[in-house]
This record gives sequence, structure tokens and C-alpha cells, in this order.
Amino acid sequence: MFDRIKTFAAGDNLPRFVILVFYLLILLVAFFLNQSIGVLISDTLIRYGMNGILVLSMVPAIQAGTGPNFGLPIGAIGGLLGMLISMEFIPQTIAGHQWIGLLVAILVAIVFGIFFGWLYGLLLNRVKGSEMVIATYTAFSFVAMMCIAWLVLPFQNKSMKWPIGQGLKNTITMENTYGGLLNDFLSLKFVENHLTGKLELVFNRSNSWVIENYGIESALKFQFPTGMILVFLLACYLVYLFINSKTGVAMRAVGDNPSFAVASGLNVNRSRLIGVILSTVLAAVGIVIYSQGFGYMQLYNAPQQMAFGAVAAILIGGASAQKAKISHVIIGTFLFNGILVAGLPVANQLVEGGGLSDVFRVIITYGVILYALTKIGGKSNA
Amino acid sequence: MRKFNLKRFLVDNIVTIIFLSLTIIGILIAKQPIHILVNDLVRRFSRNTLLVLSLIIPVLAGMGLNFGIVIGAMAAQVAVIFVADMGWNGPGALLMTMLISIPFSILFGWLIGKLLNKTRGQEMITSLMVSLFAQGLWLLVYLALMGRIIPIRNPDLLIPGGIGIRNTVNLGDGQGSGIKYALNNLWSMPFFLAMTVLLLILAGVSILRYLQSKRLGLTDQKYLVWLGTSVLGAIIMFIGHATLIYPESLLALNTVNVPMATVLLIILVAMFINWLMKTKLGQDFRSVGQSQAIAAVSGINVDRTRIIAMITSTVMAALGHIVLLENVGVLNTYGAHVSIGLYSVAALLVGGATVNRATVGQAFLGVILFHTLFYIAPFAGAILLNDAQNGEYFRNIIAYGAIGLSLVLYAWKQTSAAEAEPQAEEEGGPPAPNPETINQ
Repeated sequence: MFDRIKTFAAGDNLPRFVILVFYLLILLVAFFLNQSIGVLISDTLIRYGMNGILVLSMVPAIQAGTGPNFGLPIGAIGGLLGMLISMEFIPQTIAGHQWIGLLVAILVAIVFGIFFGWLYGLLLNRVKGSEMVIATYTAFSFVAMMCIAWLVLPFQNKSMKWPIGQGLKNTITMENTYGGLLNDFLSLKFVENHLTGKLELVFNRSNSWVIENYGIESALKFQFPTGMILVFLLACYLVYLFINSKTGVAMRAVGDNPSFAVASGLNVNRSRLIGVILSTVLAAVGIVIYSQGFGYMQLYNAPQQMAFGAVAAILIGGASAQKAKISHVIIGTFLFNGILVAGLPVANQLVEGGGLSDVFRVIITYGVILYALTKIGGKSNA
Repeated sequence: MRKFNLKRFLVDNIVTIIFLSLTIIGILIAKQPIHILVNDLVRRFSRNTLLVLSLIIPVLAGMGLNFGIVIGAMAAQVAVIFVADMGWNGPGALLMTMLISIPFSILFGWLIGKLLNKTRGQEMITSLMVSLFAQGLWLLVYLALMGRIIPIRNPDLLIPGGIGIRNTVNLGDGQGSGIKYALNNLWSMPFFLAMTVLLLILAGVSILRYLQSKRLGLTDQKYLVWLGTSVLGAIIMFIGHATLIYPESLLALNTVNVPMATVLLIILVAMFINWLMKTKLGQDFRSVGQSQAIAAVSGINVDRTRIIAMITSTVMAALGHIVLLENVGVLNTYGAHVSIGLYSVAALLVGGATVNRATVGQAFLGVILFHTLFYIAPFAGAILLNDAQNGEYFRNIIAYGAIGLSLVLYAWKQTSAAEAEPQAEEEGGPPAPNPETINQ
């Protein structure tokens, strides 16, 4: 028995297995604590859609051999710039214009993502072997520098700036722009009709007046954020197409075995650069989707720790520091966010005073990353 | 003696030069009175230097910059909270705190060392992640278990509900109760007198070194220069203490109190590191740091040596954190340890250390430069941005920027060396460190 557990632990399945068991356990506890399973599942789905593309951004970086992209905040800042520019220049008071706002935000985010990713990729090509720690501190430094930039950038839109003093706000609400737009697109909601006391199924916000009349807080029981999930799956499909294209196959070959790739005439630095740019672009788009799902843009130090959750999620899905597939993203994002969503009310109910929910997040996130680091291989380097 | 090469000197010390320039510019912009600046610097130096010194041994043992000293700081806080719960006071309580922290820091250091032996080549990111992971465990134990499973006698330590330690724990009033100022109150001196004493100690060391080198037959004129400079400095400082002939802005410096006991402790630890690096164990650290394969072939137990390096570092970090808390006087239970790793690593790198090279001198220089800049930055930033609140952001840029810049420059050098001559790396390895620079 012990031997079998040991063999299993040596495989890559252990974290996925442990987290899955833990998740089921939490769901069971939540059930006995009379938590609403519907709310838990729909919260999980919303967070799944919000974080999916951020986690997906790990795939090209890992496959190109630069390791999990701890520089995700760099791309995230590109996305924040895209959203700010969209908010500044696209008036979105009319219903249809919100789609334009979202589209502009994504396009500008992609432009910034390519630019930042290119610079960042050039940097990573010069520091082979210590990408992870350098990515972390490059991102931290960039976030710190952007804190000054948020203060001095010449944005004029009143709703983004502090009423007194200078600079952009810490959190900028998106309720007047495209906040929640994708969440609600083609979404399915169960809404309690207070007059009849019965649940009604609302589709695609076309009946959204039903929700507004009774207040979103009390009415929402379950929501399937179709639009956001569709965007995530679309992004997965695009990345899938890319990594199976000629360039993508070359990139994976470089990541698998750089010296073999050189021997077969592949340009290692170019492939790594492409992987990093793609990863940064995905991070930039990812933060736009994340923020529209969250309803707020978060500036200043908010992006700093963002990479760790995404890295942990893909690792939980079964990836390692050198190998990652899109299926790892799909599984990992669900498990990781499922635990965070379900763990929060359970932890708060078990231990009064709160504070413990963050403990779960911290221990799982960094525990999983540490586990993956030990799997890189402890051979003595000459 | 190597010929002085200006370009090489600039390239090798670029981080220090950048931060020295920033410090000078910052001082000019901020226009803070010099005695206030020095007062703050003395306090920061006495608080932080031991933590920075604790980073040196892992660097020399080839394990990079040990962000895991955060966990050493946790070991310190375990002891600090225990002693606060016991209600012990004064220097004896401080000594007990240090003694209690040692077994914890040995255990933690051993565990980190074990882990780092499994993540060879990625020690820095691992030590960073393990420090973040440990924060989760720290929250779990001190927020959820204290008062519930682990009994706490002193209700003042607990959150009003009775479970979990308060956000801030008072460590005494600085006049004998608790451990606050237990070390500061042992022996303090006004600035000019303190400098006189320290420079005279340096003069004494120079004489000893000179005599030592004479006995070995390689009379080193360098120590005579040291002797002359330090005696001259001591005279200048003593004039400042005894007379009133200096301008008033400088005389105000004598209002600065230097905690001599802490400074002496720092000097002792620095000497201990230099002594340790000369022993067999120290040579083992260095061999392992240069090449684990060659060290293993020459019969050194590489894994064990690396674990010992981590334990030493963690124990020193715990002692350093206790000295810091003794000086601060208030424990921020869930935050005091968090930024220790960041600021200490940044300070060491600003002093000119790299991932595989660090000296006591660099640690001292780094603490002085980094913390001067750290103190000055918000003032300078407030003036540059016309806004007093946002100067704080400059501190983050300095700390993260210092680490980012040094790591990139180091890795860049390694990569270009490896790509220029793939075979040279295997033959030569990194150049042997110059023993003189390490013994300063």
C-alpha cells in the first residue's frame, strides 16, 4: 500500500489528486453547513471565466522553455493600459457602444502586450536558466514603476481620477462601461420572482429588468456566465491552433530540447521570443476579461501578485515547469478557483473572525508552486 | 596587483554606482537636515545590518540570495511572542528570546536546506516561494490556533474574541519592561563620541593586522594607511564631541544617540562570518559555491554543507530580527517579517554583492546606501510629484529595482559568457574570489 502511494506521488498527478479530494471535501462540508451549492457553483464558474485566459497565458511560455510566466503582471499592465485608453476615448453610455469599448480595450491591450512582450522576451533571452526569479523581480519592478505612471499619466476622464489630488484611482468601477458585459451575454440565470415566490429562468439579459426590479443581491441564485466561458474557450482554441501550426511546433521543439533544436536548425531565441510575446498578449487580454467580470479595474500594486495564482492553477491542472497543455489550463483553473470559492464561506463559518480564507489561498498557491519546483530535478550542476 | 581598468570597474560596480548617484541626487532634492538624516540612518543601520549579514553565507555557498530569511524572522517572532506572553523583562528577556529562537531557526533552516537541495539551480525562486508559503502557515498558527489549541496566558496578546494574536503586540515601554530597547539601553553614546570609539577600535585592528602581516614577512602598507585615516578621523570626531568649533548644523549631530551595544554585536557577527569563512567549514562553503561537482569529488558532503549554510543563515536572520524588533518596540504580528527578505536582499545588492559574491564590507556599504535612499526617497518623491502622499511609491521602485537590476545584470553576464565560449565554462568555472576582498 505504502509503495503504491509512493509511486503515485512520484508522478505528476499528486497535486491534482490532492486538490480534487480537498475540493470534494470542502463541497461536502459546504453542503452540511447549508451553503447554497448553486451560488458556489455559479461563483466558481464566474471566477473560472475571469481567470481562464490569465492561466492560459502560461502555456506558450512554458512550451517555449522559459518556464511558468512569472512576468504575467507585465502583460496585465498592458491590459490595464488598454482598458484605460478605451475608457478615456470611447463614450459608452449607449448600450451598443459598450461592445466597441470592450473591443477597443482588447485591441489596445494586444498592441501593448506585443510591445511589452517583445522587450520582456529580449530580456529573458539574455538570462537563460534564471528566468523564473528574474521574471518575478522584473514584474515587481515594473509594477512599482507603473505606480508612478498611474499618478502622472495625462488621463482626463473624471470617473477614473481621484476627485482631489492627482492620478488615477486605485479601483475604477466599470459599471458604466463594459463591466459584466460578457458575464451576461447569453447567460442563464435563475431568478427568484418575489411576487410569485417561484424561480424564473432568465436568458441573455433580455429580461434583465426582472433582475433590476428585485435587486441583484437577493435575486441571484445561479448564473451561467456563457459569454465569458465562450471567450475563454475561443482563446483556448486559438492557442491550440497556434501551437499546432508550424511556428508553434517549432516553439515546442525549442522548449523540449534547446540543443536538439539548434542542431535541427531552429532559431531558439526567436521561438522563445514568440512564446513570451504570446504569453504576454494573453495576459493583457486576460486582465481585460478578468476586470470586466470583476466589474472593477485595479491599478497600482494590485497586479503584483497576480502571476502566482495563475501559475498555481496550471500546475494544479497537471502541468510542470517544463510541460503544459491546454487541458491543464481547463482542469486547473476550475479546481483552483473552485477551492477558493467554496473554501471561503466554509472557512469563515468554521472559524469566526475571518482571515482564514486567505490562508487556504496562500498555502495552496505557494505549496503547489514549491512542489513543481522540486520536480525540476535536483541533479547536481557542475 | 591587477592594473586598474576604469571600464571594468564601472561595469562590475554599476549597481552601486547607480544607487550612490541616486542617493546623492535624493539628498540634494530632499534637503533634510543632516542630523535628522544621520539619526534615522543610525537607527536603520542598527536595525537592519544583522539581517543583511545573514545573507552572506548562502551566497558564498552558491545558493544565491536567501529570501528565506523571512522564515528566520518568523522563528524570531515565535520567541518574541512567547517571551511577551511570559511577561519577562529587560536584557535577560532579550537573551532568553534569542536562546528560544535558536532551536526554531535551526529546525526551519534545516527544512529550507532540505528543500533547496531538491531544487538545485532554482534556489532563489524557491526561497522566495517558501517564504510566501510560510506566511500562510504563520497566519494559520497565529490567527487560528493561538488561544484555541496553543494556550496564551496574557489576554493582552489576544484578539478580543480570544482566538488569534493581535495585529500589533507591544514589546515594552523602552524603560525596562518587555524587550524594547533592552540592548539600546545597555550602552549608548552621542554620535561624535561613538564615532571616536569606533574609529579607535578600527585603528587598533589596523595595528594588529599590520603586525600580523609583518610577522608573515609581507609588510602591507595598506594597514598603515588605514591606521592613519582612522586616527585622523577619531581626532576630528573627538573635536566635534569636546568643542563647539564646528558649524551648528554639524554640532546637532551629537544629539544622535548611537546604540553601541547593537553596533558591537554587529561587528562581532561580521567578524564571526569572516572567521567562519577561514575555517574548514568556510572553505567547504566556498568550494560548494564554486562547483558542486568538484566539491563532491574532493570529498565534501555537498548536501550537508548546503544545509549547514542555510541553518547558519536562518539562525543569524532570527537573531537579526530580534534585534530589529527590540529596536522597533512593537511587533506587527502578520507583517513585520514579510518585507525583511526584500529589503535585506536589496541592501546587500546595492552594496555591490552579486548572486555568487558577497562580503561583509558590501553588506555595510549596502545598508548605508540603501537605507539613506530609502529614508530620502519619500521626501524627494513628494517634492518631485508635488504630493506628500505618493512619495512612498519610490521606495518600492528602489527595493524591487535594485534586485531586478542586479539579477538581470548577473544572469546576462553568465549567459553571454556561456554563449561566447561554451567550453570555457566547464574548464575554468567562476574566477576564484580574491581573499583580500572577503576579509575586509
